[in-house]
Amino acid sequence: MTTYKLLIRKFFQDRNGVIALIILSILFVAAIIPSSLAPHPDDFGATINPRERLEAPSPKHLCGTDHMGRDIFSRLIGGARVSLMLCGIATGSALLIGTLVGLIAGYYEGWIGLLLMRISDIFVSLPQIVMALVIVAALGAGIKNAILALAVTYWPFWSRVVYADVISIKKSPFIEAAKALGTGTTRIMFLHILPNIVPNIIIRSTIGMGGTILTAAVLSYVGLGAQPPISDWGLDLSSSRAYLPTAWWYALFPGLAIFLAVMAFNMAGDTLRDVLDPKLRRSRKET
Amino acid sequence: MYADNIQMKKSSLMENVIEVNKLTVSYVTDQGKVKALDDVYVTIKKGSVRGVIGESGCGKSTLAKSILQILPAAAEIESGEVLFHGVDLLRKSDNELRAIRGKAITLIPQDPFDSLNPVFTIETQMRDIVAPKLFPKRIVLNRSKVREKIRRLVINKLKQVQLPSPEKLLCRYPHELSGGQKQRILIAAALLLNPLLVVADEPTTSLDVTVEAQILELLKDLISEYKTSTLYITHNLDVASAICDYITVMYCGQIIESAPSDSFFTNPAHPYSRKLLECLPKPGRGFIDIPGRVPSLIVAPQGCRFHPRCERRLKECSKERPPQMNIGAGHWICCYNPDLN
Amino acid sequence: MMHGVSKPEKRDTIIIEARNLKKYFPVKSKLLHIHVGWVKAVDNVTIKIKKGETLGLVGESGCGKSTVGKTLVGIYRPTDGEVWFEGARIDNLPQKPMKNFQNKVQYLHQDSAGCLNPWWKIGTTIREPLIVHQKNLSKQEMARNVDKILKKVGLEANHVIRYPHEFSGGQQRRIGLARILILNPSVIIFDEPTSGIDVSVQATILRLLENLKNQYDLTYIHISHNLAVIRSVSDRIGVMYLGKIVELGDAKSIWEEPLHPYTKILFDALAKHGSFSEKSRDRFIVTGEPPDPQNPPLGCRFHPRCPNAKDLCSKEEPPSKEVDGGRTVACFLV
Repeated sequence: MTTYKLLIRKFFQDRNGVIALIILSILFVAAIIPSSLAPHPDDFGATINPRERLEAPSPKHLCGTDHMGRDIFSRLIGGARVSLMLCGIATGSALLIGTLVGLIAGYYEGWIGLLLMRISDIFVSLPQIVMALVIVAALGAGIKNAILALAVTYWPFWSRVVYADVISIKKSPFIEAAKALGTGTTRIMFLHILPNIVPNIIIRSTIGMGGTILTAAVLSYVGLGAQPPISDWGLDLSSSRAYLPTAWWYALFPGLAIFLAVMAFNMAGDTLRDVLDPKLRRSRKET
Repeated sequence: MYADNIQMKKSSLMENVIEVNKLTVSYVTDQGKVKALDDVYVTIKKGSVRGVIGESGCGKSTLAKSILQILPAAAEIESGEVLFHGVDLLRKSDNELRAIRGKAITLIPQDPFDSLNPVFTIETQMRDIVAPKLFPKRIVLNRSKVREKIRRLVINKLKQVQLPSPEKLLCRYPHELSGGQKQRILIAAALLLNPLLVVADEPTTSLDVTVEAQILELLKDLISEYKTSTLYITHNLDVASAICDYITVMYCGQIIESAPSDSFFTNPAHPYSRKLLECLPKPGRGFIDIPGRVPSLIVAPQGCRFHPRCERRLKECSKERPPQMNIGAGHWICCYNPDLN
Repeated sequence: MMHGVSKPEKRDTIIIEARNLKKYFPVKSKLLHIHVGWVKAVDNVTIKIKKGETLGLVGESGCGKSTVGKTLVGIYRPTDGEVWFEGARIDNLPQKPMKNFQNKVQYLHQDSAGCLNPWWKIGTTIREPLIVHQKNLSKQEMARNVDKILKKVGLEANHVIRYPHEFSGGQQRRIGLARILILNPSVIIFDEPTSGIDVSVQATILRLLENLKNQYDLTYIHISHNLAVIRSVSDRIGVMYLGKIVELGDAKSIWEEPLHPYTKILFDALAKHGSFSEKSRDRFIVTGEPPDPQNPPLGCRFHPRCPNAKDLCSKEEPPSKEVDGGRTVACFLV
């Protein structure tokens, strides 16, 4: 059985992993084809429907309606795209930058390593949310700036993780063997070392996505992320404040969406760790 | 399937410290059930050293763990008994086993580098071993007096394993000591409470040659002084011949030969044992090896597990597992076609 | 098969040599990374290896034999001293010209599993040296070379798609060997090639190495602490202790008559065990532990444990002097 089949099979043996996968698949589908999934696709943006304002959940509106009469369920589906896109791009860019920095710092060490790591340390020592808020406040609210803020505050975390991994893998016999054969530096960094770090990065990035979704929701909540009338979970949550406690559904369902998304990513990360770990462990001779 | 050895059962309970009878242990793995031990019989006479020899995957570690009852969760004991002075350890509760382990039966582990806790001093670790056994109720009225007593006991033992200035050693941490020193400490820990049985799991494998020689001399001296019964596991035939009174050879989870040491080394009867001794490199002679590979236990060969690689194999060897055969003076083997000259 | 007997045309050409080789590793204090000392892993080692021979380098842990091997190959740059290969100095070359020698002098790691990238199929691992050194070969040619070399080491061509952890220790050793052989090296340095392998398989590996040596006219440096193995494979033996070579010479004569006290103790430790092993010799009592390479004793490094040590031994380091029969011993009392 090939490695991939084995990994996939192992993944499906974990109940949490399967649940997570189901939730994530729904989210992805929602992100890609929101219009087909949502019962009221016009409600993604600015529609005003005063007659259906603040209605409790019903068969027509599964999660009720908001203060503008828009179907909350549809807006949640629309919000999936915003959330995933925002966090996906932010995490992805942070990963790319962080991994590159970590690789270089870890491979060369010396003063380059020291310099890069101290810069990372500075960023990491400040809470991500606070930094992100400051950046977005300075640059102006909006999705693009939110992505930038998230990426910029997140990459130093990755560079430290990658740096530590690279340092330990650098000492492995197979890297020494590759060097003994005359392999060039770039080749060693990207083809020899990197594949060994990737599993760890994958695991942490799934958990990281969860955290990023939360941070993005916070940004939107305080008005610095997605701007109205875009469907966004954090934004909807923020808008719902004025209508509590009567319109409880307005606050509950966006909150639930955030919760489910973050939890799904975390569970997926956990399962991945169990699935990918044994391969990383070296086999011992059985006596 | 396996014939009972009447002679073994006859031996009185007083004479044998350990009697392993018909023990079968399997592991549950991704690829199915694996029989790590298949109908294993081992006896250890009081005051003697029984060596268990075998290569990787033969089950000697599993045997040791079965006696100590520290098998991993994936292990299943399918049948058999492990009699310790006549009492079956497999039927004992966890609490009872915990009282036995470390006091009546102890272990000298294989890897000195990993077997000591790096964050505690030697004194703390030795005390942790002794205190629960000497004071099981854990109510200690005079703490400093008790500590002093334990300290003296430990220092005494450290002197016996020939460690210089043991008082200074007690406040050191494991990483400050060399491999040889750590191994001596582990030996001292195992012998601290004068156990009835010591299980030594390849204790000199990771040591340098000269240090190994010293440790072996030490073990020989201590064993003969205290008359401790020992189960000595190793894959190194030289070491086994130096220290063991009796030899048991394992292959693929099965016992294939058992004999007193002299008898074994002068006249190994089983083809595998013979080949094993021939494999040791000697100059002036070509390299001798055993053709084929050790089979995976999941698809173990039928009958005698060694038969696919045996040059003396007969038709019966692939059909049924050979019964135990006594070839005299406590030397018995499991083979249809042994080499008896 | 006899060892110690040279080929019909006796060759004494030196193929690789270490001249006054030193490799020190800096020790830094934990807190501020200040340099506080050196670990003198290899301290003034001079050996000349003849073409076609097997030199056995033997010693206990910390003696520096692995470091000698790695420095000869170029994994480490020497702190001092020189490495010469086929009459040219190679230790001070920049990376590009160094590459040309790196395929001629190769090193097989002790850790048979660890020297293979766990995320690569072994086919990719074996093909890698070709990509690094012979880029102009076509994909098919590379694949053919890989298949050929796999067969040479006793594996099958369809093993290329498997991962290292799916193989046994002995097979992993062969994969590492295949990766080295694909570049047609002239000198191979083996670091403990039989460690971690069952006794019954050791002989298979050793026989394979012997066959390859004869087939390809190779020169071997065999590093091991297993004296029995060293004895059976070596033409000459070098005994190392704490970074220095204490005795070097023809294998048979060293075994029959070791001159340096440490050599005697080492060989004694082997002979002591076993009623069926060698005849017992006059036993030297060995005391103490192999000392710390960071703080070697002054004078002769072995003197604290030597049963014959005299005053001079603790003051001056004994030079390596030649004794008849082509042997060198570093001891004042020989």
